[in-house]
Amino acid sequence: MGSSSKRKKEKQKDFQKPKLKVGKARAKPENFTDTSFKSKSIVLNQQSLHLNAPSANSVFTHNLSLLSSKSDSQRRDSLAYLTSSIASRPVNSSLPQPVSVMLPSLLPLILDGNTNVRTQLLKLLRTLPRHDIEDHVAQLLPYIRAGMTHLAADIRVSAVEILSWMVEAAGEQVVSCAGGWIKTLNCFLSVLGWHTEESSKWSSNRASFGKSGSQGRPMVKVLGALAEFLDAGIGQHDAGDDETLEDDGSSSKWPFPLSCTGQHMISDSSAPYAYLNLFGQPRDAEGEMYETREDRFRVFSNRFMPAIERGVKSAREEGGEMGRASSGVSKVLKEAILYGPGA
Amino acid sequence: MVKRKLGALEKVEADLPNLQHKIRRDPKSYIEDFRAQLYQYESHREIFMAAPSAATDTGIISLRELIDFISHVADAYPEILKDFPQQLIDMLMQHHLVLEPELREKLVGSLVMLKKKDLLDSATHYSGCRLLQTLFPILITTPSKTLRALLFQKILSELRTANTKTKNHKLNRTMQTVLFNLVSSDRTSSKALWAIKLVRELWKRQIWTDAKTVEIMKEASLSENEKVIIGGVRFFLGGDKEREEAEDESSDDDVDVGRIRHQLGINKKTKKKARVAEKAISIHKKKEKKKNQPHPLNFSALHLLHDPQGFADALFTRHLQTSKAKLNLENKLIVLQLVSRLVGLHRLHIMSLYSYFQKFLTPRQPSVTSFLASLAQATHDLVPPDVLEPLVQKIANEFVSEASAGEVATAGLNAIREICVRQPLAMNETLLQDLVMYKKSKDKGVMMASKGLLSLYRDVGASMLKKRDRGKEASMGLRSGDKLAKRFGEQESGGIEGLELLEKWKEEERRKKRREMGLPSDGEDDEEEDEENNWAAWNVEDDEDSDDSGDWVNVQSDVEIDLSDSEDEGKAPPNKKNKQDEETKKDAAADALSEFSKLATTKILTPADLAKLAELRAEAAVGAALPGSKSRHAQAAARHNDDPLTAEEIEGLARLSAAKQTREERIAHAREGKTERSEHKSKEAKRKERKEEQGKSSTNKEKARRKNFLMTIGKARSKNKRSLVETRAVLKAHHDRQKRGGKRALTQRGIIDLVISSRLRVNAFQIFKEGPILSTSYRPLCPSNYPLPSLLLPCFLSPTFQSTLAPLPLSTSYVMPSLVAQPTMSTSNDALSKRRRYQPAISSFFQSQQPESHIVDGTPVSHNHYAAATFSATPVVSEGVQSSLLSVGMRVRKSVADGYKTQRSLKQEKSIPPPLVAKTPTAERLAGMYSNDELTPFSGISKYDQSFGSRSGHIVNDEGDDYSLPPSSQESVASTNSFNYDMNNSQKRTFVSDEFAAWEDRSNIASRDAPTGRHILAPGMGQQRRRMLALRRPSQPNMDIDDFEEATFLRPLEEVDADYARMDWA
Repeated sequence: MGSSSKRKKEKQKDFQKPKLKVGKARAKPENFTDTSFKSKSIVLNQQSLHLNAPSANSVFTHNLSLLSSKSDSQRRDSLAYLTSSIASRPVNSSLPQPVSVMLPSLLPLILDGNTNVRTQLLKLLRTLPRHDIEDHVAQLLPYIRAGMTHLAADIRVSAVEILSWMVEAAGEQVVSCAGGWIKTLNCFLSVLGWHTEESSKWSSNRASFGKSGSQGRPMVKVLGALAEFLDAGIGQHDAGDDETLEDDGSSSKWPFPLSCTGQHMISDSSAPYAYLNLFGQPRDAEGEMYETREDRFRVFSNRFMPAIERGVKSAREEGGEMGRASSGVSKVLKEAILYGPGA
Repeated sequence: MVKRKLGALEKVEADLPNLQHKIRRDPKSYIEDFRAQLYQYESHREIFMAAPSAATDTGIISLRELIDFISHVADAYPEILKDFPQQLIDMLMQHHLVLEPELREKLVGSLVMLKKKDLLDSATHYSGCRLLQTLFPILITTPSKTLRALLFQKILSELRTANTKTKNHKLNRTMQTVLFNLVSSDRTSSKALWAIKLVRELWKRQIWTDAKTVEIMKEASLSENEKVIIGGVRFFLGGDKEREEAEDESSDDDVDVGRIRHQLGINKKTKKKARVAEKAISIHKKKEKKKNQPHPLNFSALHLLHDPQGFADALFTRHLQTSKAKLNLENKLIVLQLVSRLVGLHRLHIMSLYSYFQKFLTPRQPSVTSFLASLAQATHDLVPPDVLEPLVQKIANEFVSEASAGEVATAGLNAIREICVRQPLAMNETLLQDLVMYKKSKDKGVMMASKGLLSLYRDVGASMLKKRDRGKEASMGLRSGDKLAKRFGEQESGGIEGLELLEKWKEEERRKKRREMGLPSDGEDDEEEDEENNWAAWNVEDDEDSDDSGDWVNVQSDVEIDLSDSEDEGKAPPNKKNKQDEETKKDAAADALSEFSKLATTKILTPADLAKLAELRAEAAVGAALPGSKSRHAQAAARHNDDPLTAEEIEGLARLSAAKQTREERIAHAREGKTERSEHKSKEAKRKERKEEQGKSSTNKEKARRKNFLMTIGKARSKNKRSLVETRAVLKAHHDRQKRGGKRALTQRGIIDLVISSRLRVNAFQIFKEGPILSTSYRPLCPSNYPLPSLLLPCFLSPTFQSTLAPLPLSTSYVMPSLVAQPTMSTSNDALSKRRRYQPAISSFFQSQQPESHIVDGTPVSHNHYAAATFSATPVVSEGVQSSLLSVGMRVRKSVADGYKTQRSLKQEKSIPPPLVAKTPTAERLAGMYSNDELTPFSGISKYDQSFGSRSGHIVNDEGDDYSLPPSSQESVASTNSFNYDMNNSQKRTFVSDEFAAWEDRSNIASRDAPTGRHILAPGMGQQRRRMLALRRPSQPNMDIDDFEEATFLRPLEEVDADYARMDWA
């Protein structure tokens, strides 16, 4: 208790109005901290002074760097900018940045939490030239698989969408790259819940953990993507390969003494020596490359055929949209089985 | 990398902990979800493995979280996760350098967790081993400090848990091999420090205590890296002490179970508290159990060495002797300390060691005392004296001289003594006699050190001393031939420690028994019988032994105690003295020796004997430790051989060289042995502190002292302005008060305390028994507003007092009314307190002049009630007398400085000794009352009084007198009926109250003890009544009615007794 007059005065001081005097600086508050400093020179680290507007290229790079921004809208807007700038570039001109530079910052966005960002990402991917994608499938696939098994259903759906785009764009590479066949199929089964007999029954609790997607018909989309994927992997192709082989054998591309030279040349497919796995981790059965249809079909019939047939059957029994979508898968399956292990 | 902030929705969607929780509860149902997460993990791992260093943020779920999740639920799906541990191990082993710290820690943690779940097993290794094999290489190689700390902690805890229940020998062996290889493979690298750190920690915790551990440290000490060397050497020097301390520490934090139980009984009972108590009790029990367990045999690291000679040699040649060694002085000293300890302990021979010392033995050498200590430590009785002699000579030359400083000489002498304790032959005669001369030194330290040397040689080589220095014992010993100096290499014959004690004890027992049997105690016993007894006592019986087998050991104060250390302790020189003492006392040394050997060789010691032996030994040890026991040297020798000799011991008494000390040092020295005490303070200050500590409030005095000045200034000023008269009045009042003993001197409580607490209780009672004069004489001591009787009340009620009352019937009449008086006082206080503030006019005491004014339709409380009871009894006093009384009263009132507070004070001043009224038998008194009734004008109070009086059978007393006005003027009949509130007629009273009734009851009870006949001392009794009584009782001829009677206490005792007797008779 402030009993003395001194303390009372002290207390009162707090409530007294400071007197301002003309011609004198205002009294500094008690807790004033002197932040001034002396320095011989002041160096500003990053100075960006430009006389002219930034070039389109630099803006593109800048937006690319903004993809790792914390704010959702910022990421989305940057993606939108990139999309438009790629789409609007003159025909046959090269990309402002090569795909290999762009991908590392694009890939994590497959798992982005924001739906808008992911849809925008898909738009951007669609604008990329196909042949560029073919080379980077191996990079893309792990992210897509991670997305397909993500806890959040929305991310799963958009990952499936991206996958179907990729199959469309570079189907051969998708199914033949390292881990592309078995692992991806595993993911499909996991998304559909077809791994075990119990879980594939219609009566089982299909609602898997995590929030179900806001967009409707996720399973239908997945089934569609599965059909495409299977078609790319083990479907009966228009025997383009055979044709080319035959062509190679008989073609006059090479002068006479040379025959079947094309087979001895370096393959013109992307990453022709990837199967050697010279620099990567040793691969297990799942991560192995299955480059030919026969390999894929063998693996498929050994491992996945029963589960997928069972799943398709139950999906058909379910009827409705699911049933219709499953018919696409069964059709692909039938054709593949008819075709057999291939030639 | 900053974590991305997650939106609430995202969190819900990616809720791994939630899934983990659900999987824990029902693994089967969630297998699909788990598989999905496993694929997720696989994909993330793939992404990560593609570029481990470029740790990209992969959305809302990171690899770390997935690893955490999977390892938590791993035990639910062991089949699916067969490869998982290996993946983690690979990730950690291959990329620990580039991993981000959080992920790295998660990996380590997950591995430990998997180990706990026993999922780390593989075909070749079991879990613990595999974990250690993963973590240890990383510990050694990683540059990250935090990771190292984490790994070290994990490895240590892994080793500890593996060894908790039983020793995991397999794991220990593997780990020790790894560590050994680490230490011995690359001698220059400092990686071996990790091995040292680990071993030391495990040694301290007594997890590793075997020779292999010591071997690792031995290798470390012989390495080429300085840090590693010192780490290893320090382990040998301090590891065991550390271990002991750790053990003590763990036993220190004991819980007081009794206290906890007590608190549990007192404090609020909550579940938490109960749990805490339970835990404490269980800890306590565990500790008790541990205490009872046999102590594990722990050899010190020095004893576990395989080849001490080789080790000491290697240490000396590698680190000390060669000029290549890069050790600095401090480290060199540490190594030297180890070498010398090894030499002393194991009696090794490193001849070059002694010549190595030669060059360091000068006072100018830094930390020379450590060198001296090491030298002394390296000496043992098998060192050739001619190696040591030059060293001793050099120390004497360099250190001990008149010219050198006191400390230096002290250190030199102490070092010489320490050397000679171990090898007495290192000294030659002339040098010794020279050094002994320093006992006359003025420097205390030097003097003490020299005396130490002297007393040492009195024991071990008295013949080398001058005759006058030998002392009585030694010269007697020399003459008898006991005190021959030992020759080089002579070994004392070994024996069983304490055997002679056992022998002695047995002899005593035998004598006792013989005495009991009535035989001469010295006679020969029947051997066979004795033997039989011995065999009967083969087993140590519990009941026989139970009282001695506890922790308590009998310590006899004046028993000669001698310790004889066994041979293998290697304390030859001091022991010899003890033994010789013993022998001289028995004055038949040879006899003793033969006896000594006989017991052990002729008889088989039974377990009972051995138990007794141990007991006797313990007893002897305690006795030796007592101050004043003669075997001081035994104490000195009690220092265990394992204990190192330190530089402090060499410096020893140097600090006694007082002149060199500063004042602070001296104070510190004086304080050294004493317990901590607080600073000096006055009693008052201490009391104040204590009070503040206990949170007690301040006194009025303190408050007054602290009072704001402005609040007191008014009073101070007014004090200044007082007139002389006022000042005088105040001073006088103060003086009076002081005389009384202050304001609170004899308050109610004060007196009660005084009376009750003191042994004078009965005396106090006597005081009041003696009558009014005494009570009035005590009056001034009492504050005026406290009625004396009420002060006495509690003491009268106390049982002891009542017992004293019982034989004193006479006194009860004083007591009982006093009991009654109390409540009436109090009622008057609250009901009519307003009135009481005013002093009644003195004339109002003369009630007779207006008696009718008080008769108000029988209600006791009248507006002028304070005089109510007196009116009827007021004597008709002549006007002359009245006026004179009045004038006296006025005079008195005037003379009292601060005026009257109550009528009592007035009475006090002028009271005339009240007359004695004769005792009245009940019937008579009743009659008297009725007759009073006739005379008394009607009043409620008087009516009540009568009825009450008749019931209680009391009449009057002296207390009434204390409060009443002078008897001549104000006594009333009612008052004679004995109730105080009538007697206090000047004060207004309310009528009856419940309390009153209660008091009445109590007085009734008390009165029952009293004899029926009453002796009434009624000083306040009115004349009228007296007259009436006289009328009623003509048998009392000496009753003088009209005069003031003489006070009872002034009457001779015989008369009172006579009265008393008469009453009885009536």
